[in-house]
Amino acid sequence: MSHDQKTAGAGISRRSMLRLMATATGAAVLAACGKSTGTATGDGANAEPIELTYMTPDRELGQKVDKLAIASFNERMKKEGKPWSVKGVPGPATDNDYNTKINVDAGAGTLPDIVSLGASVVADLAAGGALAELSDHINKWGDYAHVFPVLKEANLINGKNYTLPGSASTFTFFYRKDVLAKNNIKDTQPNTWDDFYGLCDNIAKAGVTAVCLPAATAWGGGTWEEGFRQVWMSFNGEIYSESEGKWVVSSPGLLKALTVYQTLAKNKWLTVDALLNPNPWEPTKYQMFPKGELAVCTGGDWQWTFDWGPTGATPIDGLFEKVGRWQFPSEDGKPFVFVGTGGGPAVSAKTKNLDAAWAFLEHMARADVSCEANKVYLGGPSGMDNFAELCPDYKTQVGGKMLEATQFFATGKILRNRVGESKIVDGIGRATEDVITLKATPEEAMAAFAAAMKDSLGADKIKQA
Amino acid sequence: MQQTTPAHTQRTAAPLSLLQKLPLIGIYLFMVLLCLFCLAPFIWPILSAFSIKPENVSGLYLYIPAAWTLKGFDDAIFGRGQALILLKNSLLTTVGGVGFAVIFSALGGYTLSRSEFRFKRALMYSFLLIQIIPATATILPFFIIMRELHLIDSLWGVTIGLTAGQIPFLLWVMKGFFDEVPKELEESAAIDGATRLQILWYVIVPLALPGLGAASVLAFNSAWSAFFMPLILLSSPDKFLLPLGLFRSIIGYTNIDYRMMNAMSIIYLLPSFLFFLLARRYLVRGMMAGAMAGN
Amino acid sequence: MAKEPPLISRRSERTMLALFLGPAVIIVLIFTIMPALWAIYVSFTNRALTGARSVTYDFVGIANYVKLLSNEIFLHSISLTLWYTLWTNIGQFVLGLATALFLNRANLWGKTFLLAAVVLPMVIPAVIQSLIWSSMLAIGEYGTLNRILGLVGIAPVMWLREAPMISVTLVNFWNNSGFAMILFLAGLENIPREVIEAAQIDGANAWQTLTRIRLPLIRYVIMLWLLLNTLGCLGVFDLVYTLTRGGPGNRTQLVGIYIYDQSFKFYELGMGSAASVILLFISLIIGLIYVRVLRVTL
Repeated sequence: MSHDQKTAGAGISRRSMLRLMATATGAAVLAACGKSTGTATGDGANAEPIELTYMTPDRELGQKVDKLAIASFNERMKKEGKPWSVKGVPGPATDNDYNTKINVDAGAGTLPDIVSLGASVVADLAAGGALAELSDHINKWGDYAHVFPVLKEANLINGKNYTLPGSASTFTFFYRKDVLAKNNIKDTQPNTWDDFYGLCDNIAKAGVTAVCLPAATAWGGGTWEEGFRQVWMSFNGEIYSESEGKWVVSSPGLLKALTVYQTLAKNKWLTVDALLNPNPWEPTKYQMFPKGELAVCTGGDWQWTFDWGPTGATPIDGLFEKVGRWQFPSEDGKPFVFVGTGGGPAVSAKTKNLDAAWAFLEHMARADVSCEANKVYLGGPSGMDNFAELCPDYKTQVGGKMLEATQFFATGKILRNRVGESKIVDGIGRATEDVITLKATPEEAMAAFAAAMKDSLGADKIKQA
Repeated sequence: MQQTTPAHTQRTAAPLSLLQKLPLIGIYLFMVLLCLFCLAPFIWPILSAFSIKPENVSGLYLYIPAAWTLKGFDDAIFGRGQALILLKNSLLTTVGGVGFAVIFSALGGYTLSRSEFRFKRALMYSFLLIQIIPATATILPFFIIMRELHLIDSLWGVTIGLTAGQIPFLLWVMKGFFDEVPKELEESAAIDGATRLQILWYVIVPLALPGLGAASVLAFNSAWSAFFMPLILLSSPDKFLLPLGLFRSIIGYTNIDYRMMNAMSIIYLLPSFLFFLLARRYLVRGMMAGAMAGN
Repeated sequence: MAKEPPLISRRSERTMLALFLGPAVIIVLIFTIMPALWAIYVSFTNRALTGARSVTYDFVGIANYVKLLSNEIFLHSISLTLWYTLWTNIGQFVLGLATALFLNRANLWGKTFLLAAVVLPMVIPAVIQSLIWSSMLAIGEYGTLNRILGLVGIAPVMWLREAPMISVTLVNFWNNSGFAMILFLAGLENIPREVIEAAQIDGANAWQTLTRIRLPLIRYVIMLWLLLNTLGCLGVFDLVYTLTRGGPGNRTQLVGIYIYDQSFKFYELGMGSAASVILLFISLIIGLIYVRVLRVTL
């Protein structure tokens, strides 16, 4: 029990002075809580030195990379005679707390000049007027031509850019090649879900747990990002209607997606118990998978480095020989990869100097700066199509897996972050949980999901398809 | 001479049979189980803080260590953890916050105990009850107020925040224990010419000490574990408090260095625990020398 | 006493009131009351934390309240919270009182050790507490608790899946019984020895001493603890969130978590604030019940 987290109130005594003070402060507070209109000054360099603040999550490796970028930027600005410099400000390390801080800062108008944002919060922050629009700067940016088209497209919110395009992650299945080989199971890419079920069946017969497909509420956003979203996208049909601004909450595609989960659970191919555990990635990705007791899991490029790489949570020896990737199967037999993007560094609407902020963003995207950063760690593919030429190390780092991933950009699918997504994600967590625990059939789960979304999103933001 | 011997001498005279000892054994057994219950969960953090985990095993679960090491503490204090700076910050803000809160609450509690005024009941109850509105609902206006006072990202801001958080609880407890001190003592001291403050310090406080001691320990603990408010208020790493510093064990998304995290937790709980050990003299009258009621 | 002039004059009484009570009231007023009042104001709007409705929002009257009180999930949250509060109070009362009584006796061995053991869980931050118990309650043989049970031959239990509320309540016993113990101990220590000895001379046995002498004399402390602890339980968030996030499903979604979800996951500040105010009313009612039942004036 922490008392400091509770707030206390008081009856007002007859002290008129107190009352006056209260009213005054109250008025000030309410006024301050009102609209925050930002004006981003875009004037050119003037003599007065400007220090911009740059916030990123306080994760060890990320912080190391930031320090390098900041140092090289400050040095360059000195050489070029510009009065701009950047100071790093670490924010909370966990996504939830980081986003909370960002939202409180945005609400109070104290957002740092430059912030690193996850894809899931950009849309709302932009709609709330907390971010500066970067479209002009980006369109004039020389390197923009080298950004992969799919990333350019995914970065636009209502046709405008609010973050620097270029950071992305490809999401696929990851599987143990050696476990399959040992049990004489052919590991060809499954093109349809039936192919996938066949694989699961063979794996299970060999006495190995087949697959961990994130589901249920314990995994939080991961259920959607690493699992359900892709499964839903593997079936034909709308998920979000741009023209109407509505989420689909009931459709044949959604039903089929939930049925996939039911099939996996019923046949005991899915790690149901582990998924209901807090921190469900611990028993699955960090215990069973490295030991070879689990054959398939999902995730993105970061796993090569953060989960199973030499400096990862549970390193796997001979990682690149033992682990392979499968694209997600789909209804029409054309497997696909999901390209997660749309996040990245953004600039506050109230920044001291927009040009200065842009200069830093542009600096971070430069090939030589990225190349240096990658020596500290490489957690995802580069969004520039010419990066391998400019930075030869990239070809062989992390077993060349990051470069390999960029092939997927051409055929990858995207689903832009849209307002209200957090509620959908929450609903899906509950729906999948009911399905995998066999508490509800897919039909029942979908009906409950639709009702819950109608309640929380509002009837005008949902539709049937 | 009376034939009836007082009960207590009767009890100690004859040796207890097993049946009579049974309740005592039962009580001891209960206490032992309680101790086990309280201490068992610490197996993992202690194990984790001092050992190297084997391969292919999650750091979150119990394992047989591959080796023993102090690297966790090394990282925490001298490496990435920077625990000493965090410790300093935590101590400054908590001691300051609780200190101010204790002083203000002692003064206020005394007033509430000895005076009557019109809105006293309302004030006391509302102080207590409005705390129920969770921090998640009030953090935004709190932050804005701090911003207006230029206390964002400052240890003073955190200190004041902690003070405000502890006052309602301390006010209540102190008033309660002050109530138990008879008014006559005050009156005789006043007649001797003592001021209110002197009465408070020399007469009332010593007699209410177990209660005050208890309240201070609890307030210290509560402020020591403050997490959410400092998280939002502070952004400079050299101002962070210990609970925030635990984050530094996070290497990437879900990859957590449990060893360093647990090492930091152990460092973290030491001051609070030490404070408790120091203050326990004031908690248990039997351990206090010569401060009995009626002096 | 009545005939003599008052000890302290009225004027200096007023000054004392202001000077002594003033600082405490002012600090709480600015830093806790004002934010709370703002929250109450927001509960009548549809303001969002971020997005379009963080800039332009409307006054919606009691719409949020109506929505909440007719929402099954919210009502379920309330019932879960009440259940949690009830059992936590019972459990912590028993553990805290038993330990305090034990420590109150002068001549038993191991007192400091017990005191330290019970207080230790209180001293660690909520984040670590949750981590420790995530480790304890994990599935299969990964969880420490299951391993311990395995030593006496009990099969592993999926604690957080099958009995989430019980697990969470159990953790709260562990976490905060020290609070009760310390308060009760202080109260018991305050009882003069002579009173106990007088009762024993009169022939009272241990049980009678407990129920007729000790408990009534620490009634104020018990009442205080009950009120404070109840408030703490009603608003609990940290511990439960990190352990279960309110899951599986909604089975541990207490009101504190519901409010967090509304405000910070869905960005609906209006709804979160309204839920907080409803919680406030519930606490008020419970507080009044306590005062009635225990017949202790505070």
